[in-house]
Amino acid sequence: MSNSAEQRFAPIAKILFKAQLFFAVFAAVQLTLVKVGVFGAVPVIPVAFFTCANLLCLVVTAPMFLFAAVLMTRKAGRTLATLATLVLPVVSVALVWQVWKVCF
Amino acid sequence: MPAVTATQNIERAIGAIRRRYLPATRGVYRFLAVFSWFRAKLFGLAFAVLGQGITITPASARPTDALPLGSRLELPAGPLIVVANHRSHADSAALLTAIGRQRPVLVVADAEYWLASPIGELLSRTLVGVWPIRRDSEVAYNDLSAAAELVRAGVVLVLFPEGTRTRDGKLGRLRSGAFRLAQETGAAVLPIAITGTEKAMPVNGGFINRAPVSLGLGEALQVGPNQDDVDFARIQTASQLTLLTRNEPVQLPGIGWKRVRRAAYGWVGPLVVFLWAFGEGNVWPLIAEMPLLLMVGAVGLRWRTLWLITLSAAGSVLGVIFTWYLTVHGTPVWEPFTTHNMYVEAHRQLATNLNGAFANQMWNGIPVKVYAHEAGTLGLDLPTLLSALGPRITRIALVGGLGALGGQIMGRWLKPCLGTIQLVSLALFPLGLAMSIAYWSVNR
Repeated sequence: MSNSAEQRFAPIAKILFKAQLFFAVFAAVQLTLVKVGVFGAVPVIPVAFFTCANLLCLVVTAPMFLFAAVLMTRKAGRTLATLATLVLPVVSVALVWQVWKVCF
Repeated sequence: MPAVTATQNIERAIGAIRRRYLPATRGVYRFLAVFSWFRAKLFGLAFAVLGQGITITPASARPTDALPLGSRLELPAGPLIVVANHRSHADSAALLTAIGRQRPVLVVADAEYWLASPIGELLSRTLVGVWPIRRDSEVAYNDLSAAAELVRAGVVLVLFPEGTRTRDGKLGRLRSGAFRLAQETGAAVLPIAITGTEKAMPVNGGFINRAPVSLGLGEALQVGPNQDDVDFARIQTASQLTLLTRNEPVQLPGIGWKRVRRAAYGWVGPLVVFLWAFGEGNVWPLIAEMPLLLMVGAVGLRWRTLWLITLSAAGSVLGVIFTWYLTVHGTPVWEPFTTHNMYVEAHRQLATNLNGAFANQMWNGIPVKVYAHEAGTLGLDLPTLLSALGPRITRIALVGGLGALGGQIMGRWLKPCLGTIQLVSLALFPLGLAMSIAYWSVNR
């Protein structure tokens, strides 16, 4: 017996959502640390490190964003988790842009 | 215009794949070799990061003698067909990961399943690399036989002769196509038993779970010219696969982890840590903590970590003193990847707030050799310089301590993929360095 479309998409949507949530939380944490001044007045090394890490996160999450967009075109894939997977990267990019702007 | 049916679509895709790979010229072989290598690396990364790595047990070795992924497989030379049990979609990826780094690979797959939708076709042609056959039809063997030219050219064809993924873990009846093709082409048949993929990517539900995957290599067979030989090879393969799938998958540290740990506990690691930190104080552009972090991550919270941190801190302090000494005595020091603004800022900080200067250096991206140079230019004496180096030593101790703690906690995740992390970090370092230089290239 084959799986229903909902069953097939649910675990994928879940892992996409988790990855995007991790990126958003990570971006929020780094912005907080930099803004609070944990790394001093000129945090070039932390910002450079975070930028490299954020690029890696973007490489991983960008295809997930596109995949979530494809899922949204299917009725079975249109869930809150998929919607969040589309919204969270926008939030993450806005946050990492703020981190970048601290130095550049 | 009449609508294109699903069957027509599948036939079009099959035709496109055959035209891509046939005739099996040297160029096609090379293309598939490069393509398979990249896919092997990609899937290897996915298994290491998302799963718990892949181990390979060579033929006639005990499961306890399994090798980590990256070890060279003893594959039979010449035409080769790999037959494996089928438990999950991850089986193809696991075999591609193990074989693709040595030989070009194509996976025989059900055309009706993989080529039915545009997304499926895209994935199967790019990510997997399939040789499609129409499984539930009389043309199945003809489709398979069309790959004979590729097999003779040296492309490894991977088949799952059960025809479908098992639901109960037991090996199903093996179909004869793979063995007939081996008979036709003179290829060796290599049975490979896959275990663990049923947990890593289960048939019913679940996407990717953290579970180790093991590949057990059997003894390669040659199929004789008669029909009986095909049946004999089929039975022999089934018996080998049944035996080998009884072994439980094991998790082994990757080659990267083993090498780093061996270095950390030998004399090479401490020497590298010391020289790296010493070099950073004068000419070396990479930060002192890089090899330290790598090694303490693999060592964890052990006495060895304390030794490595001490060596790194000592190397760094001596490197700074070395640059200071040369500058005080008027010997020019070559300090690459530095800018004029870095010297101006370091000079200002050392002149106005000596104790805070090296604390600022912890995060501001100005290399420590610039501070050492400016300390010499200012004519600071050695005790004053040493007293100001506290934050420098604190940073090394902090990074080393946190790295060891991270390694202790994350060890089971790091073990299969430390080598990959190392490569990614080294690849990204120039970007971080460029950002620091860019920041200090502008007047602040």
